[in-house]
Amino acid sequence: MNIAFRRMSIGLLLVLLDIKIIYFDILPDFIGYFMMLSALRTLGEKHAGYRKAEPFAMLLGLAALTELLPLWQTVSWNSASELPISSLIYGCITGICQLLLLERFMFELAKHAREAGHRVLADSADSRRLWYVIASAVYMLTIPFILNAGVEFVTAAIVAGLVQFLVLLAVYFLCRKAAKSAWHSPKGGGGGHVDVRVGESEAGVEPDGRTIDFRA
Amino acid sequence: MRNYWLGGVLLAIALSWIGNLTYYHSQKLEAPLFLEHYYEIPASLGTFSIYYIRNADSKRDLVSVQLDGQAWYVQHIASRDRKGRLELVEAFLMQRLPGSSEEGLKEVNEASEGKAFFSDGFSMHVTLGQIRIYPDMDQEIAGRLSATMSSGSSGNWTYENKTSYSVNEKVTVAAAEFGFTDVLDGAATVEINGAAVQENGVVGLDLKQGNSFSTSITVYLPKTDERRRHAYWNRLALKDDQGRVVAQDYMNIQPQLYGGDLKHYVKQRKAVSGS
Repeated sequence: MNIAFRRMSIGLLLVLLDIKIIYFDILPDFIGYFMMLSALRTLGEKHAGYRKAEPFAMLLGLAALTELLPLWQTVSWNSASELPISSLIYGCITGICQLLLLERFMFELAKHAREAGHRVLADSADSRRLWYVIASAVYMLTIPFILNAGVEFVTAAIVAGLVQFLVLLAVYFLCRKAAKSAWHSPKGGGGGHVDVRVGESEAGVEPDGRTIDFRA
Repeated sequence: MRNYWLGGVLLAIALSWIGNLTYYHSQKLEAPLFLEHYYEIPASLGTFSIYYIRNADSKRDLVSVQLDGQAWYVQHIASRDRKGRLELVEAFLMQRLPGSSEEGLKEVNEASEGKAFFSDGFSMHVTLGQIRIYPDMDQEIAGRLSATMSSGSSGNWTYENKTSYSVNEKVTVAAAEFGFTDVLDGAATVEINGAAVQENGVVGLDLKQGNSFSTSITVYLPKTDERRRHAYWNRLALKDDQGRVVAQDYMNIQPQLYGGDLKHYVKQRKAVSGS
């Protein structure tokens, strides 16, 4: 499960980072979304709620595949007028899918963590979920005003975009935190296995630093 | 509870998009909308600007305008102002392509309509207002008067142009002709030596060598006057007792149209053309 959370975090990082050489994205988003999908499938075996986020990861992965073709222009902040409306709408739809994906993931993570007795992690997931929804909502509410309100709104959209980026970084660190946490099945397993990494302040850990692998 | 507030967020985003897209589409212009131009320009000027409103996302640039059989080519295009999807554009026209032969204009060229050609191959019939291109003055006659000082100013909705002349050779300024008095009815005042020129333009000013006199044109277009949306090049021609032009003065007034007015202006023009 820890590996799944780590995969989730790496997937999110790939989505966050856009490094392009000419047109080619060397960190394509579709790899990130499919890694997140794979992580959600693994996590869904332990906590069924994660599966509810899978359709959004699948949709985003498929949508990101189309980005390999020059169908959508990326946002050019110096002139909103040069941006085709189709690209803005595409950005909004994928933004909503991402909002639903990460909101559901963090909601289930909080629930899962609470069940596993990780109250701090659960609270952290809840607060970051709230901040993420607010930041994403503000960003997506701001974007369409660029069409009509003029260039001055571009600055507002840039600020909203930066805030959303920072909150997404916080979500990345939340995944890393979850990956470092000790997980166990509430009803003694269920076919999977639980990795417990020692020395990370969770109860039931061996004091000598060994990793205990409980297999059902 | 979570579903309610998440639903609320999604609804707000959807409303923001639907509202903005609806407004965006309501500002769609099927074709560029040209402002009204009232121009009287000398042939030697060889260049002037015309203004039109287009959608800012349009890739359609004006390339040339055909006026009374004469082709005017766009030198360059500049965005004057923009609000939302509407953009006011100024196109600088020149009469001939650089290097082509010069031909003197013999009589006044007048056009109110023309054909505009765009970069994407689109062309359209356009109503531009009234454009008159005057032949240059006869140099021999023009030599009788010399403009010694000319100044222009604008402020408080008033545009003013003053010119002082000195007389080189005996001349009678019999009439003063100011263009577009019908368009600028009640807004324009022409004075010679501080006295308003009568409506019929009769001046009757006998001048001897060494005399001097001054002319002034004042145009007042207050905020509520829709005529300030038009572009002007007004000509004041002083004629002798044989009807020959002995001096001419030009005044340029750019359209007072800004981003915030564009939507209202387009709506108004569409209503006029639809009626």
